Amino acid sequence: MNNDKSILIIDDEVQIRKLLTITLEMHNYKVIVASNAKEGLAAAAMFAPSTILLDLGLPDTDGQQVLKQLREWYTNPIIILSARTHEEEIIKSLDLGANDYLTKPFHNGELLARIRSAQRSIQSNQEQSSVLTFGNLSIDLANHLAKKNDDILKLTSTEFSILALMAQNAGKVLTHQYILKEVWGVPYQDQPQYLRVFIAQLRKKIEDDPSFPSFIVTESGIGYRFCREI
Amino acid sequence: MLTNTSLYAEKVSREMLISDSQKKHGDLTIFFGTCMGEGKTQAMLEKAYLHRQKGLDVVLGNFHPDSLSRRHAVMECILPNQSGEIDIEAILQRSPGLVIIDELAHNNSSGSRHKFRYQDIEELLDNGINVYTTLSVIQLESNSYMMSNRIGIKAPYIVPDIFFEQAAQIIPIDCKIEEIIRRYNSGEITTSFLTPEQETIFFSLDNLTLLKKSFKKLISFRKNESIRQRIEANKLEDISREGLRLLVHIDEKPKTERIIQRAKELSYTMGAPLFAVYVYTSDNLSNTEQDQLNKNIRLAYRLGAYVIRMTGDNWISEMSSVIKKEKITHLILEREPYKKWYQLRTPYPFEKLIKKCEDIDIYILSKESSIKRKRKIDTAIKRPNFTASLTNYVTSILITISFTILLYPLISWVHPQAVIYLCMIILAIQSLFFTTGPILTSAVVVALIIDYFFTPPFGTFTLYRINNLAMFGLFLSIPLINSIFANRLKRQELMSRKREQATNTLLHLSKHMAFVSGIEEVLKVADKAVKESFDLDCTIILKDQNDSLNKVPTFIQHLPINEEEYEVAKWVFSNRKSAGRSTETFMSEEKTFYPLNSVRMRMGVIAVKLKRPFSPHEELIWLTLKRQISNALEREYLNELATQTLLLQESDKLYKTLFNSISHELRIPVATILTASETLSSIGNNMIKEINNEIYTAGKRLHRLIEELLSMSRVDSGRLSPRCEYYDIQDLIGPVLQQMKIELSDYKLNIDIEEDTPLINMDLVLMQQILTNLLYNIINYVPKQSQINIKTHYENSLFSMEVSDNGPGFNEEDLPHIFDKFYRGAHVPTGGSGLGLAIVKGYAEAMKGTATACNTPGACITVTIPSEILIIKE
Repeated sequence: MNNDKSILIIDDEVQIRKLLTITLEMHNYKVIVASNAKEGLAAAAMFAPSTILLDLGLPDTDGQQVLKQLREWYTNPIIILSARTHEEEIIKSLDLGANDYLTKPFHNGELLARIRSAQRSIQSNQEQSSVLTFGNLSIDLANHLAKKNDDILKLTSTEFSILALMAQNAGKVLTHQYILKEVWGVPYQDQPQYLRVFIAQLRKKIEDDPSFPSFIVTESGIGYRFCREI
Repeated sequence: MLTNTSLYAEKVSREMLISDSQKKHGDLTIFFGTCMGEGKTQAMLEKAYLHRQKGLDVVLGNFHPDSLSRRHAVMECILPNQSGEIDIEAILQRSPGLVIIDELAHNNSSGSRHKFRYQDIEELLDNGINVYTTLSVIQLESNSYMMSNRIGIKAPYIVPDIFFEQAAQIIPIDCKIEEIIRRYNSGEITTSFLTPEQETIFFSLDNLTLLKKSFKKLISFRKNESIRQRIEANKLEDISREGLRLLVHIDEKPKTERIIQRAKELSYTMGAPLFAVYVYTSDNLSNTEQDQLNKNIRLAYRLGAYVIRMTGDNWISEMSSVIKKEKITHLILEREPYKKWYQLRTPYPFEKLIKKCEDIDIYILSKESSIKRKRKIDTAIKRPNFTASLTNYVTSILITISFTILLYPLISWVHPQAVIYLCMIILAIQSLFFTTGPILTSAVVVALIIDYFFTPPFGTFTLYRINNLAMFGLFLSIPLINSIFANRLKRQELMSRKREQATNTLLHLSKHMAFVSGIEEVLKVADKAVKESFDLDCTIILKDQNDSLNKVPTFIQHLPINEEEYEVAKWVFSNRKSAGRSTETFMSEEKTFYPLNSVRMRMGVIAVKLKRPFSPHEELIWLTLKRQISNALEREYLNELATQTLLLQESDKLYKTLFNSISHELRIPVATILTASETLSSIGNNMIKEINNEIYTAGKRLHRLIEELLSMSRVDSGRLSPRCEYYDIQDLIGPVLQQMKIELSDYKLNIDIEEDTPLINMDLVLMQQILTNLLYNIINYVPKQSQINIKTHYENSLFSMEVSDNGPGFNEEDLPHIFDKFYRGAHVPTGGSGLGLAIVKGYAEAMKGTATACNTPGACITVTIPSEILIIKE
């Protein structure tokens, strides 16, 4: 991690590149731009940026392919930029190792928040403690305990596994398939309804208002995100 | 056009899934008694009445309301049709849960659809309707031997035993013999088919005891119900020597009918299944023999025997292979007559068989005295053939005489003996070409000529020497023996040629079928094959795209089909059974109709005009031929389907590519405008900020418009395929409200989600879009500070979401049109594209749901989608 604040943008739309550059530079990021996959891969190797913003619709190579190649050696956050209606593409990218995604058009604030969050999750992964605290919710991984406002929550073991998994990946989008595989195992990967039942139960126990969840947020058609900031 | 094709493809694939096994089959319940007057009908009516009280849909099939007791008269009756028989058409249309039909044994009047009532019932069962009916021991086909031989009375109508054996349930009605006699004596029982004397015999104690015994036997046979299932299971899993198994041999003799019946009786007594084997050999059967054979085989089927057909010249080895394979324990034979001194021939055939299969028991039936049997030489083939045309006789005699005349000049040079030998040679040669009759005549003629002209004393018929007499004998015997063997050879050759021809036809057909493509070509080949192998004209009617039989797509039509016959064809198509002449359904038709079914689907119907019924061998070939045609048709049909699907896919791909590139081109500039204006707002002064705000608002509007146009285009293309999964209802409402937080901040929200709403099966993205559009619609038309209600409800597998406000509501004249594309009510502020609600409706319908609007009095739109309750197994 030679430069904490360098960001590589790989996007073929010149206007988007320009605007992103302006916005990010305003917030003291050092910006490197690339207009196609080849340039992007070269730039990533040369500058080892702290974050990459990758557009999936590149002219020369498929975005997924670029992602796969990057992930062979690149460990810092990669955030996908994509059009709205391509959930399948997004899910695939997340499964291939992208940290987060943004659909165009997006708010600048949103973009900056995602970048910060992604960078933080990389750091926190390296120094994870056994008790995670989010506002009034605390999760003790070692003792299998979750507390809300210091009251012990009665969670089934499956519910706790889901909560623990999501809390450990706080801020990151987890696809349905990923959670199912981690908690239930490979044969259940095509059964998202299992997950939905448990998420609904979990929300009733940990959220203040289950209709407006603040911890477990749904990412339509993709998965769930555990919110770090409240 | 393309949408139509895809619908078609869907329909076909659905049809393919519904195979015969999945089709619901009705259950047959038989109220079974010994004879008449036991109260079977009353018991049945009472049971039906109880079912009706419990709410089952019960209908009486052949009762007249007047004949019922007051208690039972509440049940619905379907009256008979014009010919006085059960009105199956009416029952099928009415489609009740249970039909009550009195008397299973009955022959329908001529002109009815089926010959027998049991066929009517079969059709009802095939259509998934349950049937209750009555039957008594005396009406079973296997008992008809006992009835006529031991009781001397014939029941007027009989029913094949297979009905008794395969009925889902048998309810025994067991009335004491004394009670039956009492009822008879008190005049409670009347019979229509017996004369008073016969009645007295029939209702005697001895007789009823005999019948009761048979009744008990049959009931205990049925109790051992697993027998049939066990046999079926045995085909998969080899359980050695489990239980007894009987075997009887079917041949073309009339007495075999009796043997099969008695074997069946035995099978009931022993509680063992009966197998019947028929070996097709090269023997040439006469037409009457053929008919008798068909009759015997059909009888075996009807009695519920497992009929096995084998082909081979040596029937003994075929039989023994069946015995081994099916684990037969008992072989049933009829006692052969003792041999007379002159029957020194080979031991009689069963003896060989018995020798070969040492480990089975032989059951020998007593010889039947009532039927006079003519002893015949076993098969036609060994009999000398005297039949020949007159020309054959004349030619043979002329050839012989002219040859002798040619020889006459030789008499002065050679010994007369040599002439005799030459004559013998010519007779021997002729015997290769003529049948025994002409040869024998020529032999007599030539013997006389030789005697007169070539042997001393010349010019007289007197025979001097003993060797001349021997010569005369030789003249007669040599050609006779010769011709017998030659004839046998000739017939065998004919037979094997016939078989080879059949095999060749099938081979040829499968070869041709493999190489043709297109339904029309297949039909041409099929037509040719039918013509060549059976010398029959046929008409093939194919199904149309809606999977019903249509007169129009008929390619091969040698036999014109009239309206009435077309109805028969339709029946054959939907019931998958053959009908028409030489079958037992629609027998009065002059054509025979066979269904063309492949393994997975039905293809159509083939009609032929049979000159005579098929022999078993021909029938096998016919079935094979039919199957080949059906399979080839299915192949072509699927091929066509695949091509269409491919085309569809290609055009789908093209559409997707175009759609994606256009949406990309439209979205990117808007996204740029929005991002740029957002960035700008954080740096400029107030004036710039204000102008920028306008740019941002306009950009937002443009963005929505583009999204709506693209969504509408997807709805219109018919390519919207929702990916429905089970979601928590919170996943639907929460994120949408979150996304529209700013826009909704000026309104009062009231959200009412039912506490115990299950997971809902929906396409979350589409559903969120629906909610978003509904909320935008309110924001556009309803003043700020109004109240917005979102209410969900789940009942009867339907999920509904109601979005309403307390604003002015829709104009009454707008109400029917608000879901129309680009429809914008009068006096409404600008801002919407007029597409929002059209998309709501389109998306809802894509999920097989509905969208409706009303005033409550504020505007209220309800979206309803179907969703079954998810059952999760842990």
